[in-house]
Amino acid sequence: MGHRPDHLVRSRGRRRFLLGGAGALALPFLESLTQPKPSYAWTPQAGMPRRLITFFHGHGLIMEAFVPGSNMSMGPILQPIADAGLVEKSLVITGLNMKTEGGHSGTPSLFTCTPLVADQYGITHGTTPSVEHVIARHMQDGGLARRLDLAISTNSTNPDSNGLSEEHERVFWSGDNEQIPSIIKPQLAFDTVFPNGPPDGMAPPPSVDYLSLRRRSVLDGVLQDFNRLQGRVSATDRARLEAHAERIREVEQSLGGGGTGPVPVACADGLDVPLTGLDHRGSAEAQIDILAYAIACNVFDVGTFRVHDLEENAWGHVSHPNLAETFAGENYHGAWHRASDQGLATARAAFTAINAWYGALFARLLQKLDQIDEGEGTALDNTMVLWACDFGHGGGHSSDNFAVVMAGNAGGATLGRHVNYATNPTNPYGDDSQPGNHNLAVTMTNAFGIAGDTFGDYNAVIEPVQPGPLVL
Amino acid sequence: MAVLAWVRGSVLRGGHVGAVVLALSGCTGLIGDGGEPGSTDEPTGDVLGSPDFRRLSPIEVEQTLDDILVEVGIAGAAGDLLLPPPDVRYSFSNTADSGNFGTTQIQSIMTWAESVSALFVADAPAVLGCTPTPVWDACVSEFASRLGRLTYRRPLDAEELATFQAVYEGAMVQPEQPTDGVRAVVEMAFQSPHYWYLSNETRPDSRQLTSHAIAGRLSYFFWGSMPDAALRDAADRDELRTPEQVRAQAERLLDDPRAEVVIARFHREWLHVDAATSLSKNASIYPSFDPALAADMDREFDMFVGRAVSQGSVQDLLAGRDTFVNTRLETLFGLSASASGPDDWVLRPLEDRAGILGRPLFLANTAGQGESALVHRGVAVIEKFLCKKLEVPADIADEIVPIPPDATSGKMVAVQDRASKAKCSACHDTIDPIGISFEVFDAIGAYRQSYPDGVAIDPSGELAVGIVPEAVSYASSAELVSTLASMPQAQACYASRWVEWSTGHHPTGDALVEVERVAEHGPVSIRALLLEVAASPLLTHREDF
Repeated sequence: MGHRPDHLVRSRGRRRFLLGGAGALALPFLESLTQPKPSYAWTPQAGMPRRLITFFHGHGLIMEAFVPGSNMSMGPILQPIADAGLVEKSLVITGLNMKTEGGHSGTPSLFTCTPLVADQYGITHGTTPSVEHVIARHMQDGGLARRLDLAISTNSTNPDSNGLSEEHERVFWSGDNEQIPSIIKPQLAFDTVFPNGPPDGMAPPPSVDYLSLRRRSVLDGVLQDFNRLQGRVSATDRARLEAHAERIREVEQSLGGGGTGPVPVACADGLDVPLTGLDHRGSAEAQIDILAYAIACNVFDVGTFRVHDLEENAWGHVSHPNLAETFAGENYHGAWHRASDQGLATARAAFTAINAWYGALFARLLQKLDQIDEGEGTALDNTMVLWACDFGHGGGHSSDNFAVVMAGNAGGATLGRHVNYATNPTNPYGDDSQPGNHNLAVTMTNAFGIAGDTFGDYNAVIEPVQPGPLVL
Repeated sequence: MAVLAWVRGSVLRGGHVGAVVLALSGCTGLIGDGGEPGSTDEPTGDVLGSPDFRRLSPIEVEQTLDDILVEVGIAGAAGDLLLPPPDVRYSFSNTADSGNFGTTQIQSIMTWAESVSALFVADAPAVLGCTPTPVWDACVSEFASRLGRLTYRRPLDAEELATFQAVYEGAMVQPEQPTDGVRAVVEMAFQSPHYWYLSNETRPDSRQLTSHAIAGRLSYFFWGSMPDAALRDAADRDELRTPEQVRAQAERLLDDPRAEVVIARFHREWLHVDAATSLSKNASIYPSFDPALAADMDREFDMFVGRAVSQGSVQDLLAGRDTFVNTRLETLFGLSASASGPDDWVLRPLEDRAGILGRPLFLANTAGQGESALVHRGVAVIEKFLCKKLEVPADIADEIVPIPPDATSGKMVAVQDRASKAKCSACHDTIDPIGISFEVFDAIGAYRQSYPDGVAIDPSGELAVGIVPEAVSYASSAELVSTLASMPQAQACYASRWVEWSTGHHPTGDALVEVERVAEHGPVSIRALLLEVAASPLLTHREDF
């Protein structure tokens, strides 16, 4: 632990390789092994979003401060979007119900839309990829996902942290019991995205992808070890080894394939992100900026930004005046419970302010993307940016009436509106007939050209859910 | 006397750990339930052993790399291993089945291995002892064999060496650098399943593991890393065949300073405590809680544990009264001064607290920033100390009783409210009295007799039959802990945790039966316990094949 990333001291070959747009965490490759080929596996149709960013936090919202009023007048939580002049590029959706499972135990299935399973210790995990991962794979024609996962957590300012999340929100999955970790420190995020500084667009692509050649040879050998071992272990172990080996095969098969879209020459103009000496808020803003530029530079197809606030000791990075006095002795989760209608006004005020901070971060992300010219519009116009959380009414930990903001490119849906499916979107409880997480997922997959009107499991649900996307 | 009597087919007296009373219907079960021996009281298998072959934890992977770099003579650090952290819902960071690798992790491992290989070729002739050429020759072959012995934790066989040769030659077909072949060899070694998984290779026609497999299990048990040269040599000579041979090596490993790190980690993970230096406390309430005091609390915990493990019994660990203090901790504990300064640690008896659960590190972890968390402490006693798993009843959301904001004596209102609600009281009738006995310790583990609002704390109580076989009356948490610690189930629980640590699996079935035998022998030396586990079939044999 605590090793210094050496991303900055790699060889020239690696630099050339990376200048084409690949990152160190998700590693696609520009060229075939010996012959460059046109890349960018997926070609978006006109008007279709080219990339996806999911902004996620836990514990729901203070709904009365979130739901827009008439004429899209924004309450305190969404006011930052209005302040940024981006209401017309945002679609607020309220009245969605979580259909797979309720409460905190349902959070890990929000985007997978399939029930969790428990292992021998009774510990649950997701079994299928979450929607953003399915989209990421689709964008690489089934190849490896090019995704960047950044976050802010209590450990973001901890000098002893190696820069990866230690929290287990269990929201994003790449497969059976495959959690997707996040990077919580801006320095590591930056080094991962831009190992040799922002792309300058000047270096010619290599004629030979030496690294992929070597990797293929290495992984061939590794897989031979797996194959030999398979015959010498128990059936249980065999299955585990095979799952491991299969993922290696997938990586090997991707060598030299996949790729990136055209890198905008000026994609990193204006990138001036402080990386060290940051407090929690500064770290969060830096992460947002890095994510925006990484996406704009086509280094990744899919990004997530997470506020790791599902841990009980989550106070550190949501620090807010008077929080310590208001909730002395309480953990973050417990304090949220007291932000119910019957709870403390001070709690609701405090969490409204925290939600508004999230709103400001989300607006910052939109703003950064909107400042990057791309085609006839901006990078934001070509990006679906989704703000989602696990609950609706946070004080009640309500799985009903959760809300999202879909900004930038909502797959053709008209923006600048509030679409509501609930009788009263601020109520802790909705009606079973309201659409849910499955419909949201189908809306997203359809937007990226994945045909079909279902996503996930429609049988293992806590209330009925109909096929099809959201009616927007 | 064998601490663990691995006797086949013996009839148990008084039932095993898994059968200890489960009177709290719908609330508790045994941790690891599901593997109890069948309807009879007889062990069901011929030989005990680890059912699965365990993947190393990220901590172990990086420690192993560090040790290899030292052996090879390489200074410098590899890139970060960007893997998800150990899942805290599992007992330990080295639990065998704690998640699968997706392609994202596979790519991270690949990148990490490449950062390792870069270290190896920074001065390749020095590391290899010769200069590699474009073709596979004696120089590279010898290097691959040497590296393979470290990363695979045994000598390579001919087929494996041939694979390394193929990898080398493949990388040298069109290399970018002359050392690409060496890099490929290193990268394969650090991505091979033989590096990432602990071998459970058995002897021919036997469930007994090979000496090399046993060597690996021993070294990761006590050091969280690979075998050292002496252990490798013993394995090469096939001198880990008998329990006596295994025990002798285990004793050597346990006496090595490297074991202290693992012993401290085991106990912190067991109780699920983070370093005090990572905790936040309300400075207006606890102005003395600064980084120095936090570091003292961490050290006191490790020293208490280290002393009990090296010199004491399970009872000493669970209920011992003596601990090491410096001047800052004397103040925290309200002791008269005897240490000469913050660097002077002296052994002092403490009357108000007992055992590992009385350590400030545990108490500060089971607390918020401003107040103690009695439920967390009660749950820890039940789940960690007694190995009872609490099950949250369904449909309790509407019953949740918010704790008042001051959370000092006002929390007792919530306790009373819970007691009046059937769904809550099913568990909290047991949890809360235990937790209340620990209320005499504030959020940084200092003793107090009353809450900040002046309300007196009454730590006395009675634990009804259910979680324990006989009712327990106590005047304080120290007394409660002492009584519980003397019970066989607490000692068996502790032993089972070590078995879980050493194998990556919670013991079930026959293993559970054997763990319980610890209790039959009464208080035992922890050292003897660890050595017995190490030499037992739990580590040296494989259950299924």
